[in-house]
Amino acid sequence: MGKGILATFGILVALAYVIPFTLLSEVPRFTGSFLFWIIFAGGAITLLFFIMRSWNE
Amino acid sequence: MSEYLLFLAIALYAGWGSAFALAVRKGARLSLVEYFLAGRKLHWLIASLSYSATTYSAFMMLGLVGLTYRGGVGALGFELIYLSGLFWAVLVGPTFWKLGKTWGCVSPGEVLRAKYRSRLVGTTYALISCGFLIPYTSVQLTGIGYLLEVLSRGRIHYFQGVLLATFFIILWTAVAGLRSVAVTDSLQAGIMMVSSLAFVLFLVHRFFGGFAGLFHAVETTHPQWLTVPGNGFFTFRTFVNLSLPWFFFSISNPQVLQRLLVPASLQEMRKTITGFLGYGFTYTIITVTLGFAALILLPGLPNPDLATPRLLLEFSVPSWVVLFVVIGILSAAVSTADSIILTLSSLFLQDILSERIPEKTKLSLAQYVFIPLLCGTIFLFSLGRFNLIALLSVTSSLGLLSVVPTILGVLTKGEKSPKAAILSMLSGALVVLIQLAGVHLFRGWTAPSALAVAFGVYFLVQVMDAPR
Repeated sequence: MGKGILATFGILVALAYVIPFTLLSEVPRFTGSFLFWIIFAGGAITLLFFIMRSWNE
Repeated sequence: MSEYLLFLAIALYAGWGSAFALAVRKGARLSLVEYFLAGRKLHWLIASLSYSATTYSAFMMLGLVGLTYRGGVGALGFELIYLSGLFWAVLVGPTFWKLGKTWGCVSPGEVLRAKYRSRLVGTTYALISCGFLIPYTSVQLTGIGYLLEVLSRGRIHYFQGVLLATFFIILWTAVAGLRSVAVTDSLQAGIMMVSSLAFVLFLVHRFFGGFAGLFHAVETTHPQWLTVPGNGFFTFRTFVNLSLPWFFFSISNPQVLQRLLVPASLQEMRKTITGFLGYGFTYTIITVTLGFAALILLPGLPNPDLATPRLLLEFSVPSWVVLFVVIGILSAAVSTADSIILTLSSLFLQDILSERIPEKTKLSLAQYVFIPLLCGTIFLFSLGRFNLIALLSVTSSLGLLSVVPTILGVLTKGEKSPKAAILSMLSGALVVLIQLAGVHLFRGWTAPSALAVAFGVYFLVQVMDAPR
């Protein structure tokens, strides 16, 4: 697995912790943290899919 | 909801579950690999649905709905961070699978034992897993006990509900091992998804006129529930303490780690995990939406864990939806518990009992002694009627964080130190136990401290113990 993918994943997870508690903490709407975490999960799933594509038997 | 409907739900559930379990029993007792890993030849769809049903427990429809009710959108973040934690399973999956196949391992403890060349590593891992998973498994029974008691308006006593669930778990686990667990799980996963989807669509359309109506109602009446820390429940520390153990759930919990030993090929494993990710994403959004609906429809609940049964009881939900939701929650609880029981049995047989016991004797011990004994222990634990489904679930995963460095150590090259693995697991578990006992260490950062201590000890001892 490439270091780039690992780093991307690490950044993605860090953002999932930081953004809702900072930039979105004053946005009391569904388009705030709710939407952000859904987009985060979509991104993480896509990344996992790419990692699994590189598996060799 | 009429009692007739409730009994019909239970009868249907018992009937089809037992029929499926019995239908696949042929050949299951031929060997430990057949019994605990279904001969490493489960179809990916069955494996994927079973993985979903094992992972998603009564916690979702009761605990996560309650957690959303209490703390709002933080519950969604916490659960989706868990889903992203499948990364760890994707990372260790191929290595674990290859090692398991090469060495003929049945339990995750055996893989660790082989890699670290120490039986004590496997035994320590097995004991820690058993210790921390018993409360989590008992939570599943607690969920069923509460659900049936509330829905029957007290006619089915909590004790009777728990006893009934224990009976299903023993029957479906013991009859054919992973084969019966996987087929019953698959059907249960389907019911969990369809029933929760039907329930949320009914509530949202009937009482809010659509999702826009629900969003508008929450934004206008409970805006603080849409941010973190918001109403104060999800402080950053609480969020980290709750989500970190779940981020590592896919490798820290042996019942899901063992599933990495099951696929016939890596291609099958890829399909299994992909299927699970889709399932998990959808199911999470459904349950969180239910939590928000309950927040508007049932204000001021003293015990938010009961939000789902109260919604079923107090609103004119169609009978068929109620029937399926009840079966869905029973399914979620039983499917998680039976997988844990099966995995703990394999750990006990392979990593704690003497290696000299013949395979056939081990199989009989699993079916007739260990599975009923473990179920009995969990039954007794659940009689404590602990109210905090979410908290107890997380506590178990918190303790299991202590095994994470040892599992990830399998990926590293070079000679591995068994001392590092054992001391890391013990020290991590100790830090968790001390803090759970009420001693305030590390300013309440329970999960990060357990993980940091386990990793710290692992690296330190590995460096000191490395062959010169």
